[in-house]
Amino acid sequence: MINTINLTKEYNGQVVLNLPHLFINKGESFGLVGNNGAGKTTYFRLILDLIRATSGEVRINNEDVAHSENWKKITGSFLDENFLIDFLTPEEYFDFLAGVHHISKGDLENFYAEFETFFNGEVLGKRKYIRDLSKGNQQKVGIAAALLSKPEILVLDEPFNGLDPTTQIRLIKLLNQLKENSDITMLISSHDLNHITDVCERIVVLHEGKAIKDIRKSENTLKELEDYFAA
Amino acid sequence: MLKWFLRNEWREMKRASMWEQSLAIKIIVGILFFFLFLEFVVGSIFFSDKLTKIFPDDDPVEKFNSFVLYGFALGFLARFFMQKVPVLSLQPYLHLPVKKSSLVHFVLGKSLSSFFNFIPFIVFIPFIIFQLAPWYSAIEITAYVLSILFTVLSVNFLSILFKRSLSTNSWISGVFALLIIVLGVMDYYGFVSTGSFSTLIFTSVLNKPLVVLLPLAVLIIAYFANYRSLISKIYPEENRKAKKGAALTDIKYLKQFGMIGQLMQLEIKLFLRNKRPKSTLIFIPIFLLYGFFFYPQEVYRGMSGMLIFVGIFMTGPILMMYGQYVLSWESSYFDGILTNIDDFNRYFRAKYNLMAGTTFVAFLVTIPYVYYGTHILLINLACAIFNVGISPYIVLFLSSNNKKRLDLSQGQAFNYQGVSGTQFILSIPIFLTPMLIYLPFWAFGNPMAGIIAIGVTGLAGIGFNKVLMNLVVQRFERRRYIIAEGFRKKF
Repeated sequence: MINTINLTKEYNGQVVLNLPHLFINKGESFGLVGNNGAGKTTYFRLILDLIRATSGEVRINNEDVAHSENWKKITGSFLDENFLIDFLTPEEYFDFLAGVHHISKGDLENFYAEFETFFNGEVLGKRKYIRDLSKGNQQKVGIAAALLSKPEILVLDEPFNGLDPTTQIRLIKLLNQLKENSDITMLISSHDLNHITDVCERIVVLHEGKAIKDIRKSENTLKELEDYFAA
Repeated sequence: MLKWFLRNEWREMKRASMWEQSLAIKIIVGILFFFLFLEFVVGSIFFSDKLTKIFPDDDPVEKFNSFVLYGFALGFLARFFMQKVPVLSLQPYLHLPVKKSSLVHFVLGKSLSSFFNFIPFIVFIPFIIFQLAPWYSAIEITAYVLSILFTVLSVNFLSILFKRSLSTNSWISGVFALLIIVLGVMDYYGFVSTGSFSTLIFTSVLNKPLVVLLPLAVLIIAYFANYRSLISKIYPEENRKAKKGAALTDIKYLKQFGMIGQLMQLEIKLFLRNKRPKSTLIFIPIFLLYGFFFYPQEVYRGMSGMLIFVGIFMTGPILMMYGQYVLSWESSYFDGILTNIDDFNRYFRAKYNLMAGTTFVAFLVTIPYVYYGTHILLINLACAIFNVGISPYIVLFLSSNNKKRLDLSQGQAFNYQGVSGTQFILSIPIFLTPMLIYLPFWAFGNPMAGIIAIGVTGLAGIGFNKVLMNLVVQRFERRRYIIAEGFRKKF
């Protein structure tokens, strides 16, 4: 589904990402871990065509993302606050996205119902602009917005950051349900090894732009990751 | 401790985003301020020197003094709009072992460095040299200078107090401006004489130097009123304006136009809900009233070239003010736009509709100028068609040059954050193109044909809108990574 071919990204001559070959299958839950500066966000931005690759390409459904817009219809993403239109209320923001993605009013109502627990009564109907919400609630809006269009591919950069414990647990549950009930392909990065092993079936460790580990999840995975990062 | 305060203030000033501009912008802004300064200096020297000639019937000192209070009132108004209230900058110091009272004194002292406190002296120094020095004694002049100084400082502290306690409701400043105008008019017709009150105060300082104690008393009261108000509300949360519930305005009409309608609605909300774009809206009346500066004067009415300039200007207020920051307005959520919008033709069409629509409305508003002649209506019509057919595409084409993040929460006046060469360049083709179209016809003695040609060019632009839009989108597609990367950089 997502094919990364000879992908590199350089800033001022310094290689920050170098992925010769990485293939993510349809329905896979793909986790990305690594220390700061390992290239996680860079990789996600390249997948979403937000920065230009120095060489190589990312293909979604065999189409180069840099030369096609089709992937946008099937991809939901939230990387950071640069995705949020902060002078709208959450409802207006979802309404805007629904308009852009041609989602009917009924489906939007269903979406609100589905995310009611996730929002925990702190997001909807508050008559507050997104910029006036707390960081955690902004994060909730962004994650929900990524899922609004029922995407085939979901890209989330450190989604657990800034969420309260209850919401973290709810998010894990939500993602696992999605995995079971649909054929969604998930790409999630995190600094928290527990979370990532809770959600993802395949985990790649990035270090200085290179994929040094590519693990199918088993009982030992968490231990293996902990040992790696402790060393 | 004071040393540290001053050092941090100095660093803050030196590292302000305003300075992180390209050299060209610094030079242009520098020249702009230099000329403003020069105009003040030359103007005040000229005025002081020629005072006796301008008002031959009056005593020059008394006449000058009659304007002083008005001057301070205007200064008060200008401060209300532009001077920052330096309260929130205290936050990083609140948890340190420093007395709160010295923090407050420091904040108040800091406000003295505002450039509004220096402007009056540019005006007064020439007056003192030309009109006072030859006639009055050193003591009398010292008393006068001190009373002016105390008044300037009083205005400084009063405006801070006023601004803090009345929040930043702009209608209050409108009321205040109106009050000044009303007082001025009443003065002119001799109902109430603020002027002679002003003369009374400042002339009596010259005759009885002890009167200087009066402005000094006002200053002391203003300072301590400020001090008390600040110390009682030293926590940042007490100084924040109470957040109103979000205004939930939806323009239902636009919703039926699908994605384009959604995008137009988004831009309208962007304008109404953020300080920076909102503060540009104040300039719209200035654009529309521009005609009154030119049309009444016989000299300009004959110059069609000048009238074309005025026409382009008046029929395109939104076009130009919104246009100069197209894309930059959206810099804080541009990644979201890039990942969600799969059709940039429609994305730019929404922006085009806004510019073309507002041009049409602006044209309707300028119709009454027909009072000054039917040819003015004709010129404005041609300019409006041009501003619908061609100018928006120029704006959109050049918008791909914008790659600076814009902080929407700051006001527009004297705000150079996010400014780059693009904004200066933008207006050139918009004004120059119609002139160039007009020029050959004018040279061959048929200006009317030139005006029609401007309109026809606009119509051609409407006819070839798809081609023009494709040019815009192609350029954007080529430059989108550069734009997005620039927008991600925080100030």
